[in-house]
This record gives sequence, structure tokens and C-alpha cells, in this order.
Amino acid sequence: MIEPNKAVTVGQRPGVADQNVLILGSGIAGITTALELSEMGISSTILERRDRLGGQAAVFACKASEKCNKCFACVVDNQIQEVSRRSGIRILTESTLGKISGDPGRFKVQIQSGGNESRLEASVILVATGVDFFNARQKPEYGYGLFQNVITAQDLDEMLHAKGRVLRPSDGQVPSRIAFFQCVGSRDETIGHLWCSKVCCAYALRFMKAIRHQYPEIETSFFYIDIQPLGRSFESLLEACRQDERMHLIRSLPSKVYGHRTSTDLRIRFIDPVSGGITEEGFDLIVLSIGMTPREDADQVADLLHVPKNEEGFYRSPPPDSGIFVSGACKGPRDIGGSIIDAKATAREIAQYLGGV
Amino acid sequence: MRSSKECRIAIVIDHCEGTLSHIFDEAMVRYFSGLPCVVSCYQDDNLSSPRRLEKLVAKLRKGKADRAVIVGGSPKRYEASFRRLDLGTGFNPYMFLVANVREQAVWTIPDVERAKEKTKTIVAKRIREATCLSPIGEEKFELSKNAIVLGGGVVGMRAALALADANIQVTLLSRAKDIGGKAIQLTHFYDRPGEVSSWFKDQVKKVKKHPNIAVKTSVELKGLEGSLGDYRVKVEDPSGKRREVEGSAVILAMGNDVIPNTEGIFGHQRFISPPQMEAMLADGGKSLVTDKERPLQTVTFILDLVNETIKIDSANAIKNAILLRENHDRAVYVICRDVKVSLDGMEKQYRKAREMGVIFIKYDDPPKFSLVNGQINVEVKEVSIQMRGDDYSLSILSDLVVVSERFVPSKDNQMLADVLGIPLAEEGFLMDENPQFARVRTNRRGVFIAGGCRYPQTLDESLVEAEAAAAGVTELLSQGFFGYDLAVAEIDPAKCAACLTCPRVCPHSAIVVERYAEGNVYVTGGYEKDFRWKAARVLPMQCYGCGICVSSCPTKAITLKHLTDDEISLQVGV
Amino acid sequence: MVESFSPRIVAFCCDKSGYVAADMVGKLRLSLPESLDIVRVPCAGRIDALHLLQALEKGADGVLIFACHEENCQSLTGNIRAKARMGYLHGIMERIGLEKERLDLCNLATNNGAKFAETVLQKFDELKKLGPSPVE
Repeated sequence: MIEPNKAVTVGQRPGVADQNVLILGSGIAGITTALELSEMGISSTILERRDRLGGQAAVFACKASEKCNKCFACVVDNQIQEVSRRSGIRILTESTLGKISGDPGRFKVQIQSGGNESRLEASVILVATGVDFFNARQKPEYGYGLFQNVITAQDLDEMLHAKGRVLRPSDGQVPSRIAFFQCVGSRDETIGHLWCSKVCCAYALRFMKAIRHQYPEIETSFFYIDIQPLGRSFESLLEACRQDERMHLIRSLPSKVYGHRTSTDLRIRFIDPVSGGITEEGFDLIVLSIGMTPREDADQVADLLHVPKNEEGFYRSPPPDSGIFVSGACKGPRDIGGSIIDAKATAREIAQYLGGV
Repeated sequence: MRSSKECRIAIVIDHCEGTLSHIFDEAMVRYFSGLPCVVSCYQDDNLSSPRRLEKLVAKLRKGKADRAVIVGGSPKRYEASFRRLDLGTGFNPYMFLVANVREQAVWTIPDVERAKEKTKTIVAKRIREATCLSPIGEEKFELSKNAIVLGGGVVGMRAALALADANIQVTLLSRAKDIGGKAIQLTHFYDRPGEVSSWFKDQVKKVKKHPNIAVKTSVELKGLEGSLGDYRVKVEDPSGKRREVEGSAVILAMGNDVIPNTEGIFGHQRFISPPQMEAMLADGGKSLVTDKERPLQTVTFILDLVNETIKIDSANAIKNAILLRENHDRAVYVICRDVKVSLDGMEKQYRKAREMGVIFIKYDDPPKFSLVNGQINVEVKEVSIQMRGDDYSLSILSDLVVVSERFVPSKDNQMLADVLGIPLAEEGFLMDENPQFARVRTNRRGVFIAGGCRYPQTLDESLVEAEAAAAGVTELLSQGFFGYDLAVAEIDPAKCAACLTCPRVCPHSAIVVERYAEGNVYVTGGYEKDFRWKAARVLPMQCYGCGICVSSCPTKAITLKHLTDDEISLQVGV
Repeated sequence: MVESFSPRIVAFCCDKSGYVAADMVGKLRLSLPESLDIVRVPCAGRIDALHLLQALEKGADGVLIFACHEENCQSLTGNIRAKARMGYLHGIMERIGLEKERLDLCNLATNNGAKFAETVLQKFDELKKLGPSPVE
């Protein structure tokens, strides 16, 4: 059995056949653009600094409970598999960008792959370099890196992806009380991050729903400032979370975590919105919903390609005739679904720029 | 099924870059060669590369085999290459089977000897299954480069422009007398200087002037039928005249409807809707006065009574709150459940609003409203005051209270869902949010959705959807034809009882019942005279090959060409 | 000889989820019982009640269906149809004296390799306790 009926991939069309789009980054935005371009008969080269494709979302786990919770992690998985099979897409992993010369429409690019240097020509360069996650160590009061049972949501995701289980790092046991701290590295003037990362509320709530489904005995608490909706399935998600008696949504951000390295009873201090008093509660796993920040090397890439940035340091779209395009979360935080439709839109713009359609 | 004597099977061993070499020793190769119908055996180090596969096919053609079983990794490893095989080479891609011994034996059974045994079992089964294979062809048909966009709002306009720029002829259908939709109510962007109206006028002008766009306004949608390459939209103009518009693909962008909140006290003139607020600010604040020309001093925005998970109202409230403070020096309160800041730059706007003196109040219990001396008294418990443990409410005497309109699905959605066979979600918007459809695709090939008919979102978010939907159409039409292989379901008209089960269960609207078969004509009662159901037929270009109809057919008249019942039977056996 | 009884499981895997998850089990190098047979289907909706019966008739001690999560099926309803068919068969199995536990469904996604392995192993243990299928 071959995979069921799909449109037969046809060869490249004349006119755009010799066009090559250089895509920086193999995250969901980069690979989706490559796939869309290949559908239109435009070939591309993906440059990825890591040894694997998929970027940040590649290690995300499925967060379904009794039904799909629309986390889109499976879509990333599908796209990664699809992109490595598709013709007309060249993939260079563990490679970085060197010098760039030439003009829009005819860029000459130097590529470093391992110790080797190579050159290629690109008609268009797409910047889809994504974001960094906030380094939780910059908020020492939460004890990330100090307490084993304080982890980031991404750590939890990787754990669930690889092992299919939620376990306390200190002793490998299933936790009984999990706290999610929102806005770690977002909406926070003390670290100069005056933006909302947009996706973390939905992300954490989905996570809690998945965990509660898999482990009905676990009690979860969600500490937040404002709940930020995301997309159309959010309403039912939020409603389901509000209905769940063992899922506590607490409008308060904890100020500090107390414990010792392997503590399974981490004390957190926060203002209880019901009593109004400062209170302490114990948890054996604390998950930090870390926000998105511009990539560490965002300035370098921006300088190299003359990509404008906004006040927060995320990229803005360069003028259309520059031959440089920007797509995905490097333009500002967005979820997988948002990056996918952004990538589709960008692919069409590129095709139009190349005059191929 | 052919008798096994006629089959000549080639075994192709893929060492998967050496990772399986310890399994494929001499004894194993001997075992494979000795299996029934096996006429030849080839070995390769990495068959996943299309080039190597092509070389293999060249070898296969010279040999005696008419089908091949690849022993190696997951079928996913090879399939893309299969599909690219030139059918002219004489070896049909569907004459390949893959025995996935790497994932299903070698990697999951740690003991090498046992893994070898499992390998043998898997391969023996595939060999039996290979006797059932038959070649599957491909077809293509021409697609004319035209498309229909339903909905003349900003989303429909943006989609139409994107398509037109890609040299696709677009018919833009709008129910309203003019294109533009609801965005005409907006006066300012929240996140950038400049007025919406100039941007908006520019969009309208572009659409109207574009040589590739034909705009038809004042038309009522009456129906939609057809399939990829041949969609027909029925519309009715105000005179009652009906006509058909044709296009290869369709983008649905009809937007959503709104219901103003006018029940009970909300009907009072001091309650206004967000668009009314926009309008009051548009004239430089001249209308920010009572009917006795006294200034409306206190303006209160009430959010999250409806549309709690839609960010539009919150963004507009913060934007207008800033304007009221900045340009008109009014007292402004924003009362909400949660401040929605998950828009680009909104956290800073929120901060700016607070710095300018806009007071934000968050509630858990909805506020209460009463009329006091012609003003509206808004009574609300602030969550942070609750923190003090007190049980008193804040009372805000307001001159003007802005309450949101409820965003509801368009009334066309139900009809479109019915005629197109695309799902209508519980709340009435088109399509469920199924991640597999990447938001803008539907389950019907050639039909895309964007904007408020899918879900009301902010302007920027909806415009990206419009462009993504346009990208989907552009992709489909860019080649000028649609090519597809015939790995689809096929109905035997002689067996079809025309029970209409398959068109009902088909998730992709790929089955029609029409004049097709010679035999089995059933006359059904209750319809007009001589109305006859003929055998069902699969439209291969719409079929995704899922096989749902096959297992639902009561007379077993349907075959899935790439996975027949025989093949499954052979696989479930020992 | 209960000790050496190794239940035979036939797993019908949707190509869009279950089959990819099964591949992931391999990539993660998790172990699966040797007596597991994987049948790849384009969609769980392709699975006919007949196929499930055939599997039991041809000596499977247990049958598992791996389908996509609800609301994540590329064919919208394939997974729901599979579930309905399983319900229908449970009724038949009850009448002919076959334990319902011998036929089960698991919803998962492509990246649920660990869940795939766990489900198979759990079913394996369950069937071990249940003993060989009485179907001759």
C-alpha cells in the first residue's frame, strides 16, 4: 500500500525552475514555506544550524486528552517527514550563513557546514529563524536550575514526547501536585520584556488538560495575570478547565519558590486572591511557562540582511523589492498554526516576487 | 487475485546505510530467495534516495520480475521516491510493497536471533500480499486559472487581490451593495499611526481597478456545487434573476454576523456598541456630548460579557480608551475579565493606557448596571479589592457605556456546510478546528476558508488567513492542470444498490449518484416521476483514498484500489 | 503452559497516526512483543467489522485499532467510525462468548510512540492473564 491518493508531484515548471530560495531555519515556518514553494514548482535550500529539522516545536508532545486539543504538534511531525521526502528541497543541517553578496534576485551566499565552506546562489532569502525561549535562570526567585523539580514547560514537553510520561526529575516518580507559572519572561518589565508571548496560556492549559486526562489523580494549579485566548478552540478548552475541580486557575503570580535541590515539597509564596492574604502552598513539580524572545543572534542576521526590527527586537518585513522575506515567530511570538498560515502567505508572496505564478 | 504462479517477485534488500547488514546474512538472503514466486534478489545500501531507486527500477525492468518487495525500513522512507518514478519506465509504483523490518523487527526486538525470525515472518507475509498487487495509473485534467471568492469584506478583498496578482481570474461576490464589509467601521489601527480609512480606500480601489477581478455586488448566495476545476456558485440579484458563476476553486470569506446587545437596560441610549464608539471618535469627538450638548465625561468599556475568547473588542477598547484620554480628556474605565494583550505591541498599549489614567478593573462576577439620574451606574467587584477581604463593590457612574456586540456565525454557513459537505462546528462556524486542515483548507478539494466565517479574529490575523487561503488556491492552479494517481475507491456498478450510504459517509464529497450504470436502476417513490437512482460513482480527483466508503458499503461494491480486502485478509492471517 | 503463552496481537494502524507512532517506537528503540502484527490502513475508517472478525478468526488473541484522536482525523470521521464498529463487534463478541477485552481502540498522534508501545504491552499483559483466544 502506498500512501493514499495525493496529487502527483510534477517536475519544475519552466521560468521558475532555476530559482532557488534560501530558507534560514527549519522550524515549522521554514519547512512549511519550503513545502508550499515545492508545490508551486519552486526549489529551495533549507539551512539549519542544528543536526535535526523542526526547530523548537519538533520535540513538542501531543497534548490530546479524550480528544484532540489542537496543539498542532502532530502537524510539525508530519511536515518534518514530508519535507525530507520532497523533491526540489535541499536540506543542509549543521550549517550556518556566511557572507552574502550580489543583488536582490541574485544573491551569492557563503555557507559553513561543519568545517567546510560552500557557495550557492539564491534568488530570494527567507528569514525563518524563529525565537529563543526565555532563559528561566534569569528569574532566580523561581529556582530553575537550582531545584530539580522546577522545570520549564519545554522540558516537560520533551519528557512527554520521549517517555510518554510526566515524572518528577528528582526521583522519577509521578508528581501529585503540579503548578504552572505563567508569564515567566513575558509581560515583565524587570527584565525588559514588555510583550506577551501569546501562546503560553493555551499551551499550559492544554498541557494541564492532557496531564489530568492521563493522570486523573494529579492536582494542578495555574498561576496567571490575564488569560490570553488563542484561536478558535480556546473557548471550549477554557470552559473545560474551569469545570475541572482539580484544576485551579489562580489569578496571582507567585513571588518565590522555597525548597532544596531534590525537594518534593517546594513551597511557593503568592497572594491568594480569595482570602487576600499572602499564603504558601506546596507542590512537587513546578512548570515555568517561559516566554519567547528574539533569537540571541537576531541582530547579526538583521545586520547581515538589512532586516528591520521592531521595538521588542523581533523582525519586521523588509520592503518587497529587497528579495528578503521574513516568516514565522521571528516576527513576534506565534503558535504553530499561526506560523503555518504565515508561511503559506509568505510562500505565495515569494512566488509572486519570482514572477512564477 | 492472480494465481500465485503468474507472479514474479523481486526481493530488494535495503541495508539502510549498513544498519541492517547484521540481519541480512547469507542464510537470510537464502531464505528470501527460497520463498514462493521470488525470481530475483537485489541488494542496496540506501534505497531511500530517488536516484538509487531509479537505478533499481532499470535493473528490475531488465529482469523477469513484475513486482517487488523491498525489505528494509518504514514504507514512509521510500514512498516519495515511488511517486516520482516515471510511469514510462514500465514499473508501476504500486507494484512495490515494503516489508518494514527495521522498525517492526530489528529496532523493537533487542534479541538478534528473534529479530531475524520476525523479519522472516514479515517478509513471508508481504510476499503473499504481493501476489494481490495490480498496477494503478494516473490521470490529469486541465484547470482553468479562475477562482471565486465569496464575501466582499477586507478578507475577501485581500484574498481576491492575492489571487489576481498571481494571474488568476477572480470573481468576487458580495451580498452588500458595495465591497468593504465591516472594516469600514474602523477609524484607527491600534498598533500603527494613520487612519484605517486611507488604507481601506486603497484596498477597495485596488480591487475595483484590478483587471483580473470581476466584482459582483448585491448578490444573494443560493447554492454552490461542483468539484475541483468546476465549481459553480448560484447567485440571485435583487431583481430575482439567477445566474451561475464558475471557477476552478473557491475561497469562502463571508465573515461573521454581529448581534448588538439591546436587551433590558442595554437598550438605553447611554449604552453604545464599539462601532458607535469608533464613529463618535471619527468626527474628532464632536459627538462626545449629550443631547443637551454637555460633554459625556465618563466612558466605561465593558468587556468579556460576550466574545470572551475573541481579542477584537479588547484591542479596540484599549485603542479607543487611549484616544479618549489623549485627545478628549475623558475619564475612562475598562471593565473586563482578562485584559487581552496577546497582540503585537498590545502590552505596551496597555501600559500606555494605564499611564494615561485609564482605569482597568478586572472582575470574576459580571458587573451590574442600573440607571441613576440619567447616568449608568456600573457596579463591579474588583478582584484586587476582593484581595483585601472586603465585600464591597465599586460603583462607576458613567455617561457612556460601551458594550460589545456578540460575534455570531453568518447565516450562510449552514447552507454552505450542507451543500459543500463541510462540517459546521457546534457554535456554527465553518469547519472544526482540525489541525490536519491547517486552518484554511477544507475537506473538499479546491474549497478554502478564511476570516470570520471560520472564526472572528483581529484584522491582521484574518488578513494572513486570506493570504494563506489564496496561497492554497494558487498552488492548486499554478500548474494549469491537476494530476493525481488513481489510488482511490472504485464502485462496481453491477453490485451497487444505490442505497446512498457512500455519498453520505464520504468525508470528501467525492461520491456522486448519477446516470452511470446500465444495470440496477432503482425507482424510488416520493420523488418526481421517473426519478431514478443510478449506481454511485467516485470522482477520483476528489477522493483522498481513505476507504471509509469501502467498509461502509452494505453490498461490498466498493474496492479501495491500493488496499483491497484481500490484501488486508492476507495481512491479518498468521 | 500458561508460562510460555505469548498472545498474538493484530494491530490495525491508521497511516496518519498509528503507523507513524509504531515507526517512532522503533526510533526510540522501545521493545514490542514479537507476536505483534501491524496492519497498515489509510484511515481507521477503512477497517471493516469483517477485518476485525477475520483477525480473531485467524488466531489473534487480541486486536487493537490505532486511530487518530477525535477531531484530528484527515477524513473527519474515520476514527469515530472505527469506534462505532468496535462497539458493534463488542456486541457480537459478547453473544458468541468472546471477551470484549480482546478488541480495543487507542487514539493517538504521530508523535505518541511511547503511548503506542505502552498500549501494546498493557494489552499483551492483559491478554496473557485472559489466556489464549477460544476461537479455533
